[in-house]
Amino acid sequence: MALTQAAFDGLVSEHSAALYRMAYRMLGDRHEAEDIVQETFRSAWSSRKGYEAGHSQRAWLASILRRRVVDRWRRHPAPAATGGDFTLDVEVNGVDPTAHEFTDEMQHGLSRLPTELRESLLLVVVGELTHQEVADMLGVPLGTVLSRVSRARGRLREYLLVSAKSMAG
Amino acid sequence: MIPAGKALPVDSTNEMPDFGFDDWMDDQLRNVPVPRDLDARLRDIAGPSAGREIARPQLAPSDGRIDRTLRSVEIPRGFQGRLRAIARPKIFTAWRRVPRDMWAAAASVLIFAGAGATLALWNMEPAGPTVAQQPDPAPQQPTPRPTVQALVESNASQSVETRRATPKLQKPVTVALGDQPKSAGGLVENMNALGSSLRQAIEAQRRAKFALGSAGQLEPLPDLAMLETPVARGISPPRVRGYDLLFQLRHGEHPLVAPAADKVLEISPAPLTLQTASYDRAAARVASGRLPTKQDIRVEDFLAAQDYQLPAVPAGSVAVHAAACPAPLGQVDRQLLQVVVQGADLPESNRPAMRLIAVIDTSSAMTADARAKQVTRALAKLGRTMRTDDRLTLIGYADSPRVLLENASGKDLMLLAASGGLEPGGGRGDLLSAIQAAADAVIGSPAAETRRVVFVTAGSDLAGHQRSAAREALAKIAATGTPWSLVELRNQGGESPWQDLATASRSTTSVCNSSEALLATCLEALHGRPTRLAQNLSLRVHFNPKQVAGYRLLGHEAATLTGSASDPLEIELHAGQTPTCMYELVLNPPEQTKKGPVPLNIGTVEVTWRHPTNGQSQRRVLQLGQAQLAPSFAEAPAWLQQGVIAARAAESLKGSYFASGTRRIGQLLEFAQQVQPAAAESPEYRELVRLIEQADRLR
Repeated sequence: MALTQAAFDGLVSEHSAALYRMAYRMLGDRHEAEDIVQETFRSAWSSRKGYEAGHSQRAWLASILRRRVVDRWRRHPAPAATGGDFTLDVEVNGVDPTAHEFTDEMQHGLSRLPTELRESLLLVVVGELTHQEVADMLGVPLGTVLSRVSRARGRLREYLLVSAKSMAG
Repeated sequence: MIPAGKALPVDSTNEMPDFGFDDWMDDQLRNVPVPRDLDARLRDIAGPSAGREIARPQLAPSDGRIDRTLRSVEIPRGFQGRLRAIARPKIFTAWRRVPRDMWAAAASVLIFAGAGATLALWNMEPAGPTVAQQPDPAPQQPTPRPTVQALVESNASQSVETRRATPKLQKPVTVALGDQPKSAGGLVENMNALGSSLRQAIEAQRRAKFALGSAGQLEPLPDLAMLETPVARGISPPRVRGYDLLFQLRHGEHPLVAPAADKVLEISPAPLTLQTASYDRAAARVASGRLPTKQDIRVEDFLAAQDYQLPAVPAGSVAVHAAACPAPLGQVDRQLLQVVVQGADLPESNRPAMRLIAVIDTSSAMTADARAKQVTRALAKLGRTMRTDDRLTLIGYADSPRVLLENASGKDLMLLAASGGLEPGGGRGDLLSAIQAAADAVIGSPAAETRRVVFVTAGSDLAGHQRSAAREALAKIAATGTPWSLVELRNQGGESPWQDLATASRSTTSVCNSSEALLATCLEALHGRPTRLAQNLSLRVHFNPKQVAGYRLLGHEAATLTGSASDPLEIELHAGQTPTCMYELVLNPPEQTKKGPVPLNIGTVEVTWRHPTNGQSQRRVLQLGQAQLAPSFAEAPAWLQQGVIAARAAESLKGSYFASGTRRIGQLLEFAQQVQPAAAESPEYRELVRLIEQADRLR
């Protein structure tokens, strides 16, 4: 069944906020997040003939969004993420820390996560997809997604704790 | 001097020892009101910025906090409107900027104006005689020009009705006579009606907007919190001399009683509950940055929430453990005695690998009474017991069913539970769709596998037409030879509407109010056999009045003195369950004889039950002597240390009369770190310590 205009409006009402939040957390820039979500819905509308009602609409939209984000990262590389243990030394060599609108600690913490951890965490927590849906989308085993989300949370928690202590002290 | 309204805790008969005086005095000494804004003013001493620094999180943020922060991204204004425009045709885009309400109002004006004008023209006679005759052709007197209102009022005497075939306008058209031009009068009247209709149209437009929302679509109703009648808890206090009913009324907890005061008080029937709702609510509230309300704290729920590290016992047996140790942060003469009844774990048999299809309610109804937490706790434990070759399909449902896990292992389930993936998402629970999804999952799985389905729901009542469809789906599941279990999470029991169908298809329905009861159902499904070890199990503690000067039962206080007491004195015990209770004791100094001090004899613990299959009565008695008394908290068994910290934390949060030593809950942390590794490594214990740390920070 093709996507009707009323159904499209329903998709916007139900999913746009979550997709925007996810895009913002992935890109760290409000304008780019807005553009990406608009592109996502434009793509959804242009491929409306292949739309299948009843399947997870959020997962479908999120997979489009993810492809758009990856395309964007190809054009402009994503913020550097440290693969191992992070430190609190923020790079200051002439780089404006607010250039990417990393205005909150959480965004800082996210930027330090490896891409696969960050992506899995955001799809589950912000995108509100089930672990199974994320596993299907990313083409990885379910246990991998569960483990990635758990590790991402652990690293974020550690970062926020260290950050809070350093700011308080 | 005793302040007004604060009576000394002395029994009126003065025949019982007064154990509460020191506590009462301490309480009075501390009872000095603190100015409401004192904290804030003190923080301002170091400047407002320093005050904010203090408020910064010093502890590792919880998963819930991280999730909330990740989602807290503001949506740009008008963003959804721009997205909706993607699907609209690209013509007349400028017109669309005119507000929707103005379009509707303009359309209404045009329609009604057109109708009014048509009607007016219809009423207007071009020439010729009037359509009505004056009944009384008396000489005409000059009369003032009548108003519209007067014309209407004199309708009967001075006008005739001209009925025209106007099916849409039921109101007869009134034509005035006299010097009022007929055609003009009709126009005025019609314009009057037109004005009224317009007002009605605008009002209807306003109401429609209210009902449909500015977007022109039905706005979802807000999720309403489930209001439930107060749950009856606790046990009725004994009505004997020596039990201070007024104390319980005043402080909301059991008083210290002297077993020597009355024969009845020598025996304490201990209720055994497995509910953890109070603990779960407190943990959720503290995690969200608020202290729990004192009235909501129940010590027995804090005790039940711990997973006690007990030695393994032979399969199918029931064991009783009792131990006591000095109460940390309490008075020097106080001991805490804990009794745990242990049901042996289910042995691993040669059962086939199981595919369990679990369908859980994730609607907003699951937020009530910490039901979601019960499910999370039960499923996490289920994950621990699953074999590596067992497989799980987990379906969550609210407005619609969603597959949360497919072909997953027990480890996956534990990870999901730990990561908060089972939290309710809101919305209404569509049980019918969930049952149909489970039927699809059963039919879609290989027929060679051994399958079982468990439904966990906050409410199983369906409307008539839905019920028949759900019955069909359940019958489909049963037709594949797959038994199902339907578990309703609620406090009151009652007949399930699915009982007859369950009986016919070797399936079960049950009502649970604790994670342990839910776990028992899940384990029965996983193992394919009953897990019940004992029925009518009861526990009584006999105190020796010669050596026990006083005792009090922690928790289990009744909501009122006149009733609302429902904690069971007899329970069913399932495999792996560990119901427990705790007492605070005041021991008499050791009695000296010529041969030396009399050996310690606190009393006995008596547990009786019936075998679940043959009904045979069984009894176990445990002597409470020196062997059960640890010299210090650090030397107590790990399970007792867990229980003591849990109980003390609850009493501190409750503001218990007896928690004078733990007015600051953080004082417990020093003892919490002394527990043995077996306890410290328990996930439930770690969660408790986190709760204490967070609550201390909030205070």
